[in-house]
Amino acid sequence: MNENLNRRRFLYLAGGATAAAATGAAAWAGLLREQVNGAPTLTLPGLTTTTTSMTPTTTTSLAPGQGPKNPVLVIVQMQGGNDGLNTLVPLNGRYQDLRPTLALGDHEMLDLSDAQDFALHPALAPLLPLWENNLLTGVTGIGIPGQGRSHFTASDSWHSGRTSPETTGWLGRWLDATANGPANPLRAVSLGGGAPILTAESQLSTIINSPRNFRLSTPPGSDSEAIVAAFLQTASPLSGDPTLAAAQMAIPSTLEAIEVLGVDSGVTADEPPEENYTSLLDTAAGLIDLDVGTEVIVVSVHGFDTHSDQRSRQEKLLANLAAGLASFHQRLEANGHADRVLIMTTSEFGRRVQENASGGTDHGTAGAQFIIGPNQGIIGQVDLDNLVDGDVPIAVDTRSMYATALDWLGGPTDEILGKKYDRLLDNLP
Amino acid sequence: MTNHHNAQIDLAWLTQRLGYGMSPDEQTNLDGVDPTTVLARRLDPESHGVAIPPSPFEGLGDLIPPDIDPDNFPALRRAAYQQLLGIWLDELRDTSDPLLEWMTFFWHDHFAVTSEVVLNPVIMVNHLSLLRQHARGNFGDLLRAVTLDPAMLIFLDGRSSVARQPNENYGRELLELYSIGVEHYTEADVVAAASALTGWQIQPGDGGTAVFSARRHDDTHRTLLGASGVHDVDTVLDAVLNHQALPGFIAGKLAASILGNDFDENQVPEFAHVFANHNLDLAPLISAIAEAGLALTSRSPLVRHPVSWLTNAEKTTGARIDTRARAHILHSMGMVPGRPPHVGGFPPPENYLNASSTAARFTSAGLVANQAPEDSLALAAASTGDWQTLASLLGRPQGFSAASLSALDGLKDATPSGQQGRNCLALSLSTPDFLVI
Repeated sequence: MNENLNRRRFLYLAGGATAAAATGAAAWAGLLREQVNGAPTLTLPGLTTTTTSMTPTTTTSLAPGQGPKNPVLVIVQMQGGNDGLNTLVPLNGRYQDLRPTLALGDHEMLDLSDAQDFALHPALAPLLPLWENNLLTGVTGIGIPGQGRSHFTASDSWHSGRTSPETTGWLGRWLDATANGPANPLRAVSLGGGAPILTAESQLSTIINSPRNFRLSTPPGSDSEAIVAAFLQTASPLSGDPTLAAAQMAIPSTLEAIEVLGVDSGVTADEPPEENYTSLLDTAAGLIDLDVGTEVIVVSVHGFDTHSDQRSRQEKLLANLAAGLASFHQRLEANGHADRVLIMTTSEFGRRVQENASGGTDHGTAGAQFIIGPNQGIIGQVDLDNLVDGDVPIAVDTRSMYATALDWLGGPTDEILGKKYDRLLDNLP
Repeated sequence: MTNHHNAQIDLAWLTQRLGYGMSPDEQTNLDGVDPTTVLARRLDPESHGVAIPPSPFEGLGDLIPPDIDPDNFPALRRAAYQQLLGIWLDELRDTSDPLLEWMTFFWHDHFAVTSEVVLNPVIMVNHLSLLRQHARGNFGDLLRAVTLDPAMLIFLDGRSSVARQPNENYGRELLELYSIGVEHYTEADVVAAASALTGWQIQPGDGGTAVFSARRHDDTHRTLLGASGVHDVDTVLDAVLNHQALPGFIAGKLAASILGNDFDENQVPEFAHVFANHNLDLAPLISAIAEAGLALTSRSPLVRHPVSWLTNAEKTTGARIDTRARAHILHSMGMVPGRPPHVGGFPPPENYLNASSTAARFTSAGLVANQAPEDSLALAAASTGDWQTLASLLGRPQGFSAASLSALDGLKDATPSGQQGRNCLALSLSTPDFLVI
């Protein structure tokens, strides 16, 4: 009965504590030991400290700007289950009947030129220019058949791309399948929280809760260089115990990530410690600018579980989502990366069509997602006349979106998904 | 290995898996005491002459006067939560009843009510006091109390669930997360539970109390989990508490939490049997699980979460960090008591091996070492390079790993003698060894 619990435990350990990864990490430890240097200052509450930012003394394969201009996939996870129906609104009479208080009025919705059947939630206005420039695709009625309404079973399916128990995430399997040469922990980076979709059998990814706090500090007057070097030394030789070894392996990969991200952070001590999703996307853009071989970035936005007070809550959530996506894309364009970055939103489920009495909606199945990349249109449908247990029926399999993403990254797509799914976009470069 | 050494290892395991470690004084007091005796004392302190400490949270509600200016409320609220955090962390560290605090935190993780949704600090404090009151008491009493607790009525929308449109949020999590697990109910059960639980609201005053409104309640008799005639909170909880999957679900979750990587699914029926036979009393269950752990001849390490890391670090070194800095440390490591990130609670401890937590741990270790008092035994051991004594003080009588030993030696040699103590203490707190229990 605790299979789920244990499986969940494992899924959280994005990176996987296996012997195969240990070798790569140990090699790194040697590489990094020569690269540690001391430096400037910041203030922590109650204590003045010296920040240790590590400046590379030799050029490595990971030195900023030296990486290949590879395709990048950015996943924006709307945590909690976004209500697709009020995101990409079906222009059909039943919608307003079925949502007596939550339905958007005709005058509120944003028209999408060339799309007769759907309109956008007004808070998504910042996405309109992307639509006009043929860079926005909406996917609706999307879900995984059999995924369930539980946060956890739905999340497990969403993360693994399977409805049967699976310990790896769909992008984790891609990391494993395409591993080549020395491990690069910055190949896949999750910002703002864990990313079970990145859980792999052998490949490590980097999870950064808060880029602004992502640094090493040592007390004033202490020899930061010596302490950091000793910290690194605690990582080798690796213990035979997998848990202890995983704790050891986290050290060199963390130092590596700090070394690279520290270059660009430009953080001052005056900034508030609270991170928001927009600042996480700024970090994502910075990471792409650095060009250190990052291929996958996962950014989490929280709060979409709108069981109550959905109207005002979702409006704020979507406004934040759209503003962040729009400015992120502008920065990619300004820096010449837009053509090689595909952005996708995901969420564990859509919400029930019927409202509850709290002005919210309960968990449902099919939802709506966006893809920002070289395509325009609405894929999928919302059949409100044929609800399945009160839910929008699934018209597009989420794995089709995954397949599109994996194609963008260069595959091998069908091998990773275990089956050939239809692709959503067929004009990928 | 001597019996004494084995007993030290057992004691370190027990006090860290069902508590937050031992201060040097506690180590001295418990030296030579049989671990099973320590367990028995902690399960029932009163029978062993130790009074159960009063709730540390009482009086916190006074921070929010009844006639407050709403404009000042956010500031007052932040101050109240900061104070709550400080009091809570102090109690985790200094309590005379560690098992009670550990179990309270276990239930905080289980029910995962967050102050970010509850907002009102008085209601949150009452919730934590309620968890504490039942922490090692009877699970049925706990679940009944939580179901009508104003904090839960806010957290999972029970207060706005009415007959016309029941809100399923609590009904679902009651079954999935709090009692029997996802494979033991149907969507119809969720609807039945949600309907029968309609009609509860919160009456303001003194933090709020749950009141029932028959007008908002759906009294239709339904079948829940095979039990017929379910129509109100009592019949819902009877159906849930009598479900055959419940003892195994709760026992399995608690056992996994205590035994970590040594947990074996095959033990669940045995623990569930003990739990069910004692009418869902928790003390016999905790005892059975802990005894199974103590009986192991070798044990696998378990990653400790940030709250455990910080509490142990303060406790073992004697350092006292002010609340603002502790809040900052826990925030950077990704775990703040009172604010579980998800309805499923805090993530499993392996999550805290992530890059952010690793960096924050390094920085925090320096901060703690810097605050260790001059007479700290751990600081003295670090200054003289007595790594075995240092490891024992930090809760690892089995000593540091080869990697950490060589790192400590290297740092000692590379550091001017005046700084060796604090530098090496900082490093010892950053080691992977101190991150696992």
